[in-house]
Amino acid sequence: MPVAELTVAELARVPKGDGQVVPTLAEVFAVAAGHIGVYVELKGPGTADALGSLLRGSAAAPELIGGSFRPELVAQLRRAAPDVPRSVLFRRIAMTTMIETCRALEARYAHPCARPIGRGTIAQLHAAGLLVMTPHANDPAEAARFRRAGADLIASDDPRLLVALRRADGQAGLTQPRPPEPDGQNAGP
Amino acid sequence: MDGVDGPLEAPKPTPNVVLVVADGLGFSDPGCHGGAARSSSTPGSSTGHTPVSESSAPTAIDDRMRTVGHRGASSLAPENTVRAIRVAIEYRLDFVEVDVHLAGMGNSWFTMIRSSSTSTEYGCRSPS
Repeated sequence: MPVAELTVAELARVPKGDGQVVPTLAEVFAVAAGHIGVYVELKGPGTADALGSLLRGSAAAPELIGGSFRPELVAQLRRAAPDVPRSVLFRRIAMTTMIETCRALEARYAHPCARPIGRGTIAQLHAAGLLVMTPHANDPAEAARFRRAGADLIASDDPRLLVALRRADGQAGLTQPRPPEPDGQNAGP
Repeated sequence: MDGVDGPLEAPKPTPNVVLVVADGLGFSDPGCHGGAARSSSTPGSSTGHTPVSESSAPTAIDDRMRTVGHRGASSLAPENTVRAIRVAIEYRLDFVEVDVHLAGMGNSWFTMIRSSSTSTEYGCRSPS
């Protein structure tokens, strides 16, 4: 059932597992601020304005990237929260269109999601002045290929994969997980 | 000692500076682990690289990979939950990705939960 058809009360009853309650985006920001950035993928009309409102009312927000498959939402984000770096997600599309779209929206990130994504694709996006995020990869070999091809942001469901990739990338000092916080809410690595 | 005309002196210190001069580099060519962009094939560029003066390099580019936990750290915790985000923090990831949707009533918005088994989409409580 689409989110838009559920009320706040109904959504709050959606089971999450492990005793977790569903966080609001404000709660997400509160947890993340000062610790981790948040890539907010805008999924529907009004979300960009809502993000702008939330940021105007927030004392502390994490580092943000705002992105969407829908260029009109990225355009709305530019108006609602111009300081938030923008990303455009793409399904299979011509390189020239991808670059032109990012330029028109003054996006910092191109996020191509149609495989294959190789060195040539990433080099062309870099040459256009864009940072590149690749589609989330749960196969270590694919994630490594993305990195070797020059991807700037690499996503995965599995943080262990990302830590191993970072270790292979030579980013020593960033590979040791933090100890779980004392409130016991953390799953632990 | 033979060959010594006067008292020994320590060598004078020299500036600890290395000056690197390069030409024809694209914004991402240099890097301690190898540049990311190999060749730009920019039209009109005889070298095949984007001259620095013509590139519009993003401010964040520095050849360091950023890691992004998809929906938090959804392989280790329920996706798009605080726990998933805390796990991503424990692993020192750079970002978490969350999906957002306006919820019903048009005045709230939510992170989105998608059940991979049912393709059903759910949302989260409103921040407002």
